Amino acid sequence: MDYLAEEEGLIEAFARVVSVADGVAVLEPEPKTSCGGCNSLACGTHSAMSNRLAARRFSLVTAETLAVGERVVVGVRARDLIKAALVAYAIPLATMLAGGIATHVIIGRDPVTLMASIGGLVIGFGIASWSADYLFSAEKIAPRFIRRAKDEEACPNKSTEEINSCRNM
Amino acid sequence: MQEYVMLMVGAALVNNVILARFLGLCSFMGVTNRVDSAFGMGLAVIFVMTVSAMLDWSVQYYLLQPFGLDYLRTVIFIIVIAAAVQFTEMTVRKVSPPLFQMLGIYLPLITVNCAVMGVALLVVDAKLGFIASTLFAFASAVGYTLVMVIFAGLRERLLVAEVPPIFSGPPIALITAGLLALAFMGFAGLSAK
Repeated sequence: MDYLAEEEGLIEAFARVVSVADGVAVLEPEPKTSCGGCNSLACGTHSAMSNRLAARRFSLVTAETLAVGERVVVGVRARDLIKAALVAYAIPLATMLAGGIATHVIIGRDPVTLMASIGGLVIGFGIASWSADYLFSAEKIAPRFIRRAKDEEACPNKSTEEINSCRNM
Repeated sequence: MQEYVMLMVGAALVNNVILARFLGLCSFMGVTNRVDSAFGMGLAVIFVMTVSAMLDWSVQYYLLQPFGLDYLRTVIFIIVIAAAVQFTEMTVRKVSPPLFQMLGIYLPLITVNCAVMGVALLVVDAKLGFIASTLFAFASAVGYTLVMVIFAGLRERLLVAEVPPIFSGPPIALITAGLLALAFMGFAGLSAK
């Protein structure tokens, strides 16, 4: 299965099974911290964002028999992730800057430029929404099951005992 | 116009956020294992840094300065940045749930990225106008992404290189980062700012 991820250029992430019904598992992602001190929140890194994880739950159709509470590795194609990031961030940013710069050149007053930038941002999100509908379907970019995760994968710098003690805190 | 170009070149290359100002070093070491994820995170940082700087500039000049509340700047900026990240997340979720789901799973949280905060403070300290501040923040973020992607590429190559065991892992990564910083010193003198 690791070979599969390598072969298809998949980017991996950890998720925990929240519920399973009729071959469809609902998973809660374990977001990475940007410091990279650990690979997931499973190793005891708690953040104020943790309570928002419920909003990020996603469904996964898999032939594997998964149990509630189990940690798995899911993957998406790297180029899909980049395309998604471009649509979500680059388009609104481009329209925001274009609106701001054009207004600054024409009018030159800061409050008007600020308003034009915000207007450009709103237009950009509209274009991003249309582009996302056009380019992606939910099935196409849905994460795929790769394999079951091991504790030491989540937090390479901590022992299993340390990980368990973090979880029990 | 040339003034803006020089400002952007200076922010992106000469005074690079990571290699010259030493901001965002944790994500520099933590999220540079793969070029794809480094680029994805870079795009998110470009967006958040530009929008945050724009909002922070507005808060500074339309709220804090007129009411003499400059001493609250750091706290208010932290709140503004967190709100900007939250707003972005909510908007992406509304705009396209599949995109939100995908980005939420694979891109790290950037709410507390010190580079975002650092650039917001630099923009205010430099006393730039609105558009100059926005372009400065945008260029700083582009410089951040550029370095992240270059470093991720180097680290991917290091994985298949023969590294003496004592240097393998973070030590060789830090040495590589040092060499990259030296290379970027070659841009010194391109811009006055």
